[in-house]
Amino acid sequence: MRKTTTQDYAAYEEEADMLLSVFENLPDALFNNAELRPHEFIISSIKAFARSYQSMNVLGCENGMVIN
Amino acid sequence: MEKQLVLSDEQLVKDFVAGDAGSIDVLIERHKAKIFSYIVMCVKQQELAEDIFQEAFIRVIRTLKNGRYNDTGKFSSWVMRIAHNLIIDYYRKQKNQSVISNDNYEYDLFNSTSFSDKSIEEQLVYEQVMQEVGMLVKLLPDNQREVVMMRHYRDLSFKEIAEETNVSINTALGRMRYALMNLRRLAEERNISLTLQ
Repeated sequence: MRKTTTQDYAAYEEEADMLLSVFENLPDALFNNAELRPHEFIISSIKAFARSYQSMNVLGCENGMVIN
Repeated sequence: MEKQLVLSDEQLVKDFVAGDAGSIDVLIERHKAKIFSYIVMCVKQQELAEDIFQEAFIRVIRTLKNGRYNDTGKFSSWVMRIAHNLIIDYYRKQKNQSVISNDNYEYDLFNSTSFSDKSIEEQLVYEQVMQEVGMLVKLLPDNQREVVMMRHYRDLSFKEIAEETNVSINTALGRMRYALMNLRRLAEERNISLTLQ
């Protein structure tokens, strides 16, 4: 079966590369009043994750881990 | 919180790694607009951009908490590079899956005649072709007709056909091959077109 795509993903990748180099050089302050933002529940879920996440380094593995 | 607002990104990162959860809040609030703008500019879909934004920050938090952060550049650039990698991963996954989303189009891809019910004319042609095929099958030699009936009308596998007719699978396959060749020849001789629309 021949695979076909309707989207030019190679061009999208190139565009993402180009945009990254542009954005990296833009001053952060330029976005202080930007209206384009993620929904507030996305932000609050990330903040909640930051509070609940415990690294394995901190938890340690003295009690062993069940891996299977 | 007010004191944290004046701290540098580097200091906030250090404080977060040291256990001050509030520091990441300040970093997120400080950089969310720039990072999200970059993602939206690339993927051009709010929901997808939010998924990538969330995943990028989850990776940021994991990296920081696991003590693997050693980026010497700007914090926002580091997060944008993580988001960039996720965007590229998304494109490559989409490319490999070759999925076409209806959301990407202003018209309904499935609102097409190829998905609609057959028209009266198409139905009549279909019935006529089926009738003619049935008539041609009757003209085949007995052993070939038997294989065609079992395969296409009773949906048996060639293994099952071989068992029922007490022949080898190769013989059953051979009979089917000759049956199809004969059907084609019979259709040509009688000027019958078996093409469905």
